[in-house]
Amino acid sequence: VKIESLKEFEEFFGKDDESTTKGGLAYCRFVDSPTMDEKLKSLKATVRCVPLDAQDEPGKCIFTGQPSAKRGVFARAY
Amino acid sequence: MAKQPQTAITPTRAENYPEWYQQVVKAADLAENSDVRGCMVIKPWGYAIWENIQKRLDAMFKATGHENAYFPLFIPMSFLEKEAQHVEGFAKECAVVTHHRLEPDGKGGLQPAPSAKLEEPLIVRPTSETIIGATFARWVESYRDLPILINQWANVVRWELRTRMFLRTTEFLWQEGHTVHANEAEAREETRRMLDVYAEFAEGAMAMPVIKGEKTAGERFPGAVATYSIEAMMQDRKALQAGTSHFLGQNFAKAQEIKFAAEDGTLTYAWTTSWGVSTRLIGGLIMTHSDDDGLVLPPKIAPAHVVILPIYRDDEEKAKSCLTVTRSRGSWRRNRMTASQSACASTIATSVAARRSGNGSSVVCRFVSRPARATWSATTLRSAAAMWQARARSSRVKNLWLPLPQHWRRFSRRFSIVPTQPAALQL
Repeated sequence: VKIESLKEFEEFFGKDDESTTKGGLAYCRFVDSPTMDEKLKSLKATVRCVPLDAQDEPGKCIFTGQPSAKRGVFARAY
Repeated sequence: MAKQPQTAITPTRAENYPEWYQQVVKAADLAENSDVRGCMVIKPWGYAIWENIQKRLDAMFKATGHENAYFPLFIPMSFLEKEAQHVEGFAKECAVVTHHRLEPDGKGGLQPAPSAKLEEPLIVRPTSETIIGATFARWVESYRDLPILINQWANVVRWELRTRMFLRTTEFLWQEGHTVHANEAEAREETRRMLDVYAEFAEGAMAMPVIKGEKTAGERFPGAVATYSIEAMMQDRKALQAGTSHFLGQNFAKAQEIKFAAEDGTLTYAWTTSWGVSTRLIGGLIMTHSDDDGLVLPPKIAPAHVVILPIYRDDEEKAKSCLTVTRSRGSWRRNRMTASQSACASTIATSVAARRSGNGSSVVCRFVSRPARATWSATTLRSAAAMWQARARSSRVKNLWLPLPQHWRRFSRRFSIVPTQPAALQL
């Protein structure tokens, strides 16, 4: 799922961390930053990877608002 | 109140996914927890899956020019200290060996002998970059020695606090590839090539879709310049890192003095890579395909294959059975049935001739009585297969099959098993 805002992102992963109906793979533009790490920690999600076959899509990091062209895959992980 | 359909696995995935996973492992007889906390016993059914994974991957490694070798289980502690980031990443989960002898403690028990303390403690490998790198440093002298393309099938130990069978265990089985190259471009190419091999294996043999991608700095392998991984999504919407491939740059070469004389005679540090997949793949396999009735395996990895043939007393019974088998095909397809299995299912529905053939490695299931339920679900067919597997483990018949031992008894009343020649089934 492509996600464009922090609010959507939080909703996607939900508060309930053991739920099997929340979460999934979120494709978001991001810039690696401490702000992001903290947010992810609170949602128990991580950046899984930056897909190799993805094309650049200029836009803004959903965590910091900085310009970012790459989308990462975010998810809870084993 | 509507009666809930009973499932073979309790709880169901929706009720409690982690517990469902444990129960599937238990029901399919793949592994069990051991007396050592965090370590598992891989039972024959589980190990057979690992052997199939090994067989296929090993062929793929050989096809891409790699050779197998074996390096020691123990690594001198000082080796780990050479690469700062590497030690930081692994130090907190290292098992350490400090003594080489036991002696009576005077109270009827044993204790490590103080006189047998090792001068330098040894660690049990959490991964082998350091010891293999030190070996490679001796092997490499000139550009003519490169590239070195080595793979090792081994066990490693990472002292994990929270463990789950196959997914995260203190000791696990894996393969680790280690290569040395003369230049950066070649090493980067190798890293990506092996990632492609893993993705091809995951999707082609395990039928597990993956995303190939690069890790961010925080998730990188300790000491690597770039880490790539294949990520699969499980049924509970969580991601599983199924394999990784690392471009190590010259970091490890510098730490371990892997130097070579280039064509123009100058001494340069080499470029290294490493890549690995582990028994975790089995965890991914289970979570990708299995359902509330237990384990489902893709045919290329399944340890045993079976064909079920209904045999009818008369046309009336045949009409009924054909109907139910056709329905079963529907559920099979939901379990990712391939073209060859589909063909097989048609054979099942029509071939009665097979009954006449002699003994062999295939099987015919005979519908002894009318089933109590109107349809033969995938579970039912699966159970019959499991029953057959118990009797004949060495079949080469092509079909998708799934051991589910707790069902054998329940369905044995409804099936009798007649061996037949595979040729008669036109497989």
